[in-house]
Amino acid sequence: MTPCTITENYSDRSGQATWTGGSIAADPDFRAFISGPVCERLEDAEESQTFATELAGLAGTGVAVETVEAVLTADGHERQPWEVGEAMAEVLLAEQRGAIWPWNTERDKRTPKASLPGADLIGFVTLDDGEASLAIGEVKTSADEDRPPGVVNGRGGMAHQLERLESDRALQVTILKWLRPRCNGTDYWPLYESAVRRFLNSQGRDFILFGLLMRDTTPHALDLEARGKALGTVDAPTAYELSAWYLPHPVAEWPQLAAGVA
Amino acid sequence: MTPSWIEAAIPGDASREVVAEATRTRIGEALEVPIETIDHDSVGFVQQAWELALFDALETSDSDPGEIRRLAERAFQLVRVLDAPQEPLPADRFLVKVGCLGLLADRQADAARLLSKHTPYEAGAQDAWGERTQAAIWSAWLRLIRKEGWADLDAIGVLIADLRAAQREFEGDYLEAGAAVARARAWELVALYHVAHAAEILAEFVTTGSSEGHFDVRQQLDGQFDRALTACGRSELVELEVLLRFLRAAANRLVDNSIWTVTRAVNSRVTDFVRSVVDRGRHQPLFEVLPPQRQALREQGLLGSSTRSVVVSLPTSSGKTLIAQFRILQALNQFDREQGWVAYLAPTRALVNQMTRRLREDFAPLGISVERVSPALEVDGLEAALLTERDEDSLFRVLVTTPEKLDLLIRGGWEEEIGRPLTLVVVDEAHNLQQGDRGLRLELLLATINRECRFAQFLLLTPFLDDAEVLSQWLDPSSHDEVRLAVDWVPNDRSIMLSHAHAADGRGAFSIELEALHTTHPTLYSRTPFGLETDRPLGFSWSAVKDSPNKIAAATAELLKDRGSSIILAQRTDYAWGIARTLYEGQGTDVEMSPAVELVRDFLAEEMGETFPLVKYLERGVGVHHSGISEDCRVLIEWLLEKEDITYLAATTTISQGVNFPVASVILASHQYPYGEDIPPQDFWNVAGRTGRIGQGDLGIVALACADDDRAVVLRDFVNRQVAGFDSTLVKMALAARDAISEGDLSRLSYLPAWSGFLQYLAHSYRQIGDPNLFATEVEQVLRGALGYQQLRDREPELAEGLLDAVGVYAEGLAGKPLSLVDATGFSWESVSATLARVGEAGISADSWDGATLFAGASNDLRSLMGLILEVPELRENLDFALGGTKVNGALLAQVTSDWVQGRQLADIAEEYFVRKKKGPPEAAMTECCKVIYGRLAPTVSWGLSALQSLTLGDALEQMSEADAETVRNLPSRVFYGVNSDSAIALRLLGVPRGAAVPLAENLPAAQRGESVARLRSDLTEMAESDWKAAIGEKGGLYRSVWRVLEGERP
Repeated sequence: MTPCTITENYSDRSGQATWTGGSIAADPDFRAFISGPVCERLEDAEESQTFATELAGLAGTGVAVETVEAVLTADGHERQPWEVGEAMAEVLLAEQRGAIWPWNTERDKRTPKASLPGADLIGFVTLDDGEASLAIGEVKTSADEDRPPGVVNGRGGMAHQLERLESDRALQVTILKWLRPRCNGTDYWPLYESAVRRFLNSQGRDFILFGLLMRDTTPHALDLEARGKALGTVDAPTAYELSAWYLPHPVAEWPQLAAGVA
Repeated sequence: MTPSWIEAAIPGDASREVVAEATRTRIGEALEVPIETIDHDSVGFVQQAWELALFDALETSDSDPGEIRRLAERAFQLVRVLDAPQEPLPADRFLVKVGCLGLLADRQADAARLLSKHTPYEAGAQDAWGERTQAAIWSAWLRLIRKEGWADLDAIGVLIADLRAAQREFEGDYLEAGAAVARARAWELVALYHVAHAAEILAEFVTTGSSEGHFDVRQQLDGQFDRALTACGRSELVELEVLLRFLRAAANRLVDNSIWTVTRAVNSRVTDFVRSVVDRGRHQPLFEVLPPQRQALREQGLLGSSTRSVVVSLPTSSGKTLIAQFRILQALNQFDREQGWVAYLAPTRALVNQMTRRLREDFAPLGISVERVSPALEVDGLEAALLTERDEDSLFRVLVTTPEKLDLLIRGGWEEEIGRPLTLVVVDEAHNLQQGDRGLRLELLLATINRECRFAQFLLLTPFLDDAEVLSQWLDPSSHDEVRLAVDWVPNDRSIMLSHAHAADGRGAFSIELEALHTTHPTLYSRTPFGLETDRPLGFSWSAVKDSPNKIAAATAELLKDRGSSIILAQRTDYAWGIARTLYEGQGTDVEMSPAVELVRDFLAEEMGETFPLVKYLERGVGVHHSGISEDCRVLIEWLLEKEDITYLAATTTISQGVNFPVASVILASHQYPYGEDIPPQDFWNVAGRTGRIGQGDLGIVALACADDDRAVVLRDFVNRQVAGFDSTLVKMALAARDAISEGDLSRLSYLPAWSGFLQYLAHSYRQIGDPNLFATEVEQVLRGALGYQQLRDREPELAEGLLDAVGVYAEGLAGKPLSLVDATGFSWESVSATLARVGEAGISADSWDGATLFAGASNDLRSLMGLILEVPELRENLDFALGGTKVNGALLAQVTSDWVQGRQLADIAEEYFVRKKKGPPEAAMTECCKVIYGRLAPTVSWGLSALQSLTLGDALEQMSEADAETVRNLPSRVFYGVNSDSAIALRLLGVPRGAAVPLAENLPAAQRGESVARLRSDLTEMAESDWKAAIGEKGGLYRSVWRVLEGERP
């Protein structure tokens, strides 16, 4: 159950795409949300991992370790708003949409995901019949007043990245491979099996693409409408689920809110 | 086979279609036929899906290795038709993965070949440090997988060392320049550095058998990969992590395949051998073994066991020789104190020579002396000296020869003369056991050895036997093993095709279409045929080719020439000549000849005469290989083909046995032997196994020329025949001789060569047992020694019982007979006794054996001897030929033999004796001459003379001086080698061509002094070209070069 108050501002569909806009009320629940489950995804359980084992192992390869060590043990990582946006997107999708993100226990949470090629979001969604689908997605955070904001369009924009995720069969299968050791022997395994079967049965078409816009502006359907219509032309059973989230605080403040200091 | 859950989820139709499409593409590429572009998306999807299934199996702890291999094979076969990415680094990563798939599919040779076509990216100053690191690492791994000699493995060390050297300079900027992504970059570098170190560890292990002084290479690699994967996990490097998981599995497979792993902790000889095969100085160092070798040596424990009787039944080209080499070393080690020796048996002289060369080359660094004795069925003075050598340093430890010669040695008591035990018998091409008279002889030889040689163990090598266990059990029911593959492993892909000719538009025009067939073997098949672009190849017209399989075969070879050399198999020697002629004429002009081709051409002109057509055919890249050219010439032609210096080889099936040929295509003009008998499936697959072999072309093509629809039906059926189970010749013989068996009269069968062999086996056993009563009680045991008798008992118990009784009756007749003569002559007692009677009538005595006069013209004695030889059933059949239309008689045979021994040129002999029709083709007389001289006269007459010596010399040799006795003992060898002096025989034994042996011997002091074979060999090797010229004249250089080729050295 989401602890914060959400209002659906708009909702529409075209072909294989749906898009919705929802705003979150500025209340204590939101603060609890952002400094609770969202923050958990951003911070390591232990205050700061030292990676001593890794660095000792690296020294055994005969390379110089100092520079790498300096980067990995550096203090004072300044949390970026888009990192918070990404974490929020994960939690919202989990709570609102029943998405499941197999937890990567090895992750160094000070390494931002969005800096890497691939997909921002990797997981499953459960379906009505108890089955599951592969879910992959992109998250963009923007304070841009334009509608849609600049991060939606253009090269490197959300729409383009989603289209790439949709068409790059090799990447999709790579993601399924990557999930394999993470689901093996866990509660996620039945979901994994189901998602792989659906994906292969459909010749690589049955999966869901999430596109999330994390905003601090007033809600407006124009943020997603044009893209939604364009992406909706994709062949079934591939489906797009776009959502824009309008938050009650300026983007720049999110890191402090997550840290519970704002 | 149950598909994995992931495979089951892939729509079957989609994958079938994709596989068909990919197969078609591969065949099309191999044939250089334009193929409609493949649907990369569909192929890519199915490929990815299989890769996912493989990944799942790799990540499952208790996966069946066969399952992993099967899934990898599927993914590999599809990935190889996909295009690599354009960008250099993604292309390298793609190929690393292709390499991993190839390794896991046990297709490392194919993978290495694919990777060799690619030049890894060399990053420069313009590239960011991350890219430079990746470039170095992928380059290192690509080299590790393909291992093109030491250069690749040395390069790995350099690449990683350079990386370390540049690290301090460039890494800092790279990590600072992108502060926002610095952590991600740092983690990626951590992963990559570990993978770099893993490459170093593995490269060191592959070359030295250890890494950093330790032998726990798997643990060392696992450590590096675990840390690399942890780093990937830290920053969710999805693609890198997945690739590294494949790479880790592949690295383990590289360890599995390493020759060091397979041979670890066996014995010091084996370790020394391995050190020598990976040595820097070696032409083609051997770092890894093939999957069948791995399976045989390690997984099936062949090296660790002391099983007495082992059959290795593996496909052609799976590297059985290496398996045999390890077994030989093991046997030598086992009986080192006794200085035991190993007999390596090969069916043909060419194979004996080839194996001697290979074993000698490989074992020389270990100080193991390898010798061969000639296939001549006699032991001349030189061979006797070689066998009884007592000098510790020169003792032969491996003796390479034919089964018949070993039979003669064993029955002649040579194991005792040698004074050291026979510890292992390696039988190459052991499927010959079921082939007619020779098969039975081999079977009985093995039975004799098994019965009489205390320490003897057995290793039988065969390409295709469904019931190999029958053989291994036969030789030792309590200690036997059978090595065969659990899976259909093939060294490389091949496609069996029908070659059809169709009329085309335009006068006389036609096209050739290749149809890939379904077969009993894993071959590439395609629904739609492949049309080859044609423009009346070889100038043929439709009317000329339409009914002629020979011409269709020649045209097909012509159209496939761009992909490499072809062998065109013809049913008969004259057809082979015809095909060679059409190929020669079709070329129009001469081609540029390599020095090797020039050498062979000059030698042919010298040996066979300037007008011998093959001389000019070679000038256009066309060779001929069959029993109608001399053995030396055949070896030289094989050498040219091996070097790919000729494009076409028109041959008969004489070429099929065991010689390692690099041919892209084999084209069968006929699927039958000369007398209309179908080529048995095992022989066909043996030939097919020669195409596109390890390290050679990508896809082997076997095409069967097909002139009409009826033939197509026959040929489709032909390639779908199953290899039959093992049947001893003895069973067939017994079934065909029911009457004689039931009447208890085996004597009357003695004129049949196979029965003669069987009766000799009985006589020999009788002689060994030495007591008629004891023989009577042991007779069943003696019979059971033969596999055929065991099979007969199972299938026809009554007939087997009858045979046992008949043998008892026969044995009674042997009492008191001088049976040593049976063993000495290789004749049945019946033949010995009849010949003894004739010898007296013919007036042959010890005095007849006069080296100075016997071969001088057709002496009376020689004529008489030839007359006697022609009366012996064992010899007669092989001498049943005609000379110039006249059936051969004693006088004629004496004349030809005398000319041959006197050193008369083959061309002259052909001209005088073998011209049948004045207007026949120019090569006809020479072809017949070679067939008769090399295939019949030389081996049979020398055997006959040797046997007659046994019957007539008595103790005369002991009365002679040692030198005279040696001369007399060498007389049969003069016929075998076609020279007229003892010293020339020695050189012939060492492989010197006949034309050079006599003059060279006269000028070689060591030959004149009758030095040992080993000494002579070393003297010969040291002789400079000028020495040869001084002895022979200007041709000396030519002969020296040819000799070096024949002996396996490369001039």
